Amino acid sequence: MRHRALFCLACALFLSTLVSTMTLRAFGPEETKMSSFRIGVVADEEPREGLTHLSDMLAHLGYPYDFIQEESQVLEPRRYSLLVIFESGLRKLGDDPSSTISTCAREGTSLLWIGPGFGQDDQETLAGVFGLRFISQAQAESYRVGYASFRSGNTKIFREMITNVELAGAKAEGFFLDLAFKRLSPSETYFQFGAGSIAYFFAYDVSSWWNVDLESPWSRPARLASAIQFALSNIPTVILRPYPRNLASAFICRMEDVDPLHTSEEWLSRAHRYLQEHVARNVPLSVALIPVYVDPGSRSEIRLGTDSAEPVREWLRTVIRGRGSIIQHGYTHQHGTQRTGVGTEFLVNGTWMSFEDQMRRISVGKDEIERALNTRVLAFEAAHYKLNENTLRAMERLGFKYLLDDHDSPFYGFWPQNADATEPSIFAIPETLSYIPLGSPVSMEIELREAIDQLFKSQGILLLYNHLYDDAALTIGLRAMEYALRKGHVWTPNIDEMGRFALERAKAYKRFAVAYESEVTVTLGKCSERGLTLLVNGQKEISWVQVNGKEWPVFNANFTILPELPEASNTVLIGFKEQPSRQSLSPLWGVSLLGVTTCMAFRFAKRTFGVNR
Amino acid sequence: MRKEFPRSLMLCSALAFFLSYFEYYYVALDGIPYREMYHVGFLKIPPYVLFPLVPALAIVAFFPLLDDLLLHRSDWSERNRTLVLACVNFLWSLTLYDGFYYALRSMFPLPTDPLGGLWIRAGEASIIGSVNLLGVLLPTWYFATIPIVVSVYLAYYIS
Repeated sequence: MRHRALFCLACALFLSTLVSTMTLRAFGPEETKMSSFRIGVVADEEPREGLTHLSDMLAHLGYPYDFIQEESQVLEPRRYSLLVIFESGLRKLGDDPSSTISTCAREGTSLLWIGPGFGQDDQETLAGVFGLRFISQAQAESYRVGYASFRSGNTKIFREMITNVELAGAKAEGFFLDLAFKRLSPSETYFQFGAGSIAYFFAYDVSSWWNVDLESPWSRPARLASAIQFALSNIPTVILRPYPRNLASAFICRMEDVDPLHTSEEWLSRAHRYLQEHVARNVPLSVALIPVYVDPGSRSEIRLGTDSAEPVREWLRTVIRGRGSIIQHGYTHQHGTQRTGVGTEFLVNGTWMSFEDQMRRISVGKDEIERALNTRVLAFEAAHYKLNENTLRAMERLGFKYLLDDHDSPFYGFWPQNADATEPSIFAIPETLSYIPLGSPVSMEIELREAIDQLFKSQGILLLYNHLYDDAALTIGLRAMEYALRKGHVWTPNIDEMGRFALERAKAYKRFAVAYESEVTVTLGKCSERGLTLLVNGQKEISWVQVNGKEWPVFNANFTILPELPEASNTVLIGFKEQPSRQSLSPLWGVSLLGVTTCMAFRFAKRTFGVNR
Repeated sequence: MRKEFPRSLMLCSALAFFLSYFEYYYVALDGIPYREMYHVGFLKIPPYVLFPLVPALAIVAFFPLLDDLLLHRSDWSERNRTLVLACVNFLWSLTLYDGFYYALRSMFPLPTDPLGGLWIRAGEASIIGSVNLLGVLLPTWYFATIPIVVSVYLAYYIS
């Protein structure tokens, strides 16, 4: 009787908590009024180098942004958290750009001015918003400017327009230097106004001349990334990180110009050692492979599938087993009487090869590689990067998805580039760390380290390519790889892995929008890759995350790593205040379950083991 | 009282600890434990847990029963008892395996684990959710398996 009463009590508790839990689940968090986080770019949308670089950077770093179309858009209260202003876009700010800028600043929008055109604004606005006094604007040569300095280094100034300003309350972050490194006027400044908004100013076009300065190729993107981050430092922001699982950078090593004649014992032994060292550190190799070697001088043609190429095929199979991937590097990488590796392929004496011829060559080469190695090739690299629209069309038609390119940017690139295209079909991976020439001195390692440091600051891709010409190339390549890995949180994909992730991330980014108040609501497009990371810069730590209405546990103080996003439009809700989890049940549920199970299990066990009452 | 059941229980516990240690520290992708990113499978259980980890625990737990069956050394009622104890050992090892994983994560976290230092979170619990008991979140299914194990071993001890 006593047992039965206890059992009934446990059952009653069980039922009551079940009902209460269901009721609790029916009520979600309160709806709140939200404002948005977005960057507005005030510029003429004519394609030009600096603007392309800026938009590539904003997309790569995962900031939601758009180009300002008209004045009313800017003046919409708190529509933009940051306005990036170029001279070319001032007309979009109406008849009186100064007053528009001033209004935005008063509303709490941070500002980032890039390059010339500053003199067009009236002095009062400049002093009030940027804390600067305009003096003059002219070509760099006329001021004898050679460099722009900042805390961690210098960047070379070329034949470009610079602005001469005087500080009127702003703080200088860098100065122009002459060729004897004597300090001239400020090259970049910032001024804090109102409730924490920041007005950042570059007196030169920091978005141009990337990868041109041989001493410091990536210092400008690093400065620009750092300025954007600083200008937004007092504002709650959410960015979609460029790499998966909250990783800070990506390192890829590409073996270059490997062809079927790479069968010498010396090269193969070096290549095997290089591969082993990479595999041991979980870094795959990506190999740019020329499928057919030709030398018209000696009338020789060696295809990858021939018997003599077996040693290099064996090495390539080992690369693939070590998570590596193969890139088709043209068909013969030559034209006319040149031998393989010397000349371009699709651009002959200033004339582009026809679409049909390009298509035929790429297609035959692809078949040769896929047959010889029994693998699928998805990445393509044109000889000496010389390619045109026809090459891209041929690639797309043959099923290539990834392109190795040199677009003077350390960020992801896509084709087609226009925003109206449904989805980019080809992903372009830039070369950023250049290559290791024959007979390189060990000091080259120092240059590579500096470039790695700069790329790391702008979260650019670290892509080193190596022909393995000699033992020095092997040593320098390995040391550069180890240096990059020591930075920590470095993603080490092969070309295919990076391409797959970048294309999926681009789909998600296309619908990226952020709204916030007490919670942050992020909208993202479809993404079949796991690991997209949202980085939240706010005053509070993240307390809970929901993805499409379901609780999601993978988050830490300021970021969340997302699962696959299956819907065309997905909602990620990020909360900062502790709230009872909608999925966790009340303690009564647990206690009653415990009671019911114990009663039942004990009765059953007693019967099974013949325990007398 | 046959000693092989408590022995099997200890063996199951040791294996559960080893497997959870192996899973947390070695089944990781770029330093993030696989379970944290990929728990979207059947009942939010990663595929490698369904096979081979769970079968491995089952083999150890059911070994006394298999032993009896192969050697034909016990009658039906004895086999029933062995079956019950084997099931209980299996449940115990599953609970322990899951619990150890979160214990290792909270006490000895991987430096790259975004959830390092944290006990189980609400969204990580299997489909039947979790219970917040005195501020500690526990998967609901622990509340079913632990009393079963304790009750059966208590009855077995009394008998």
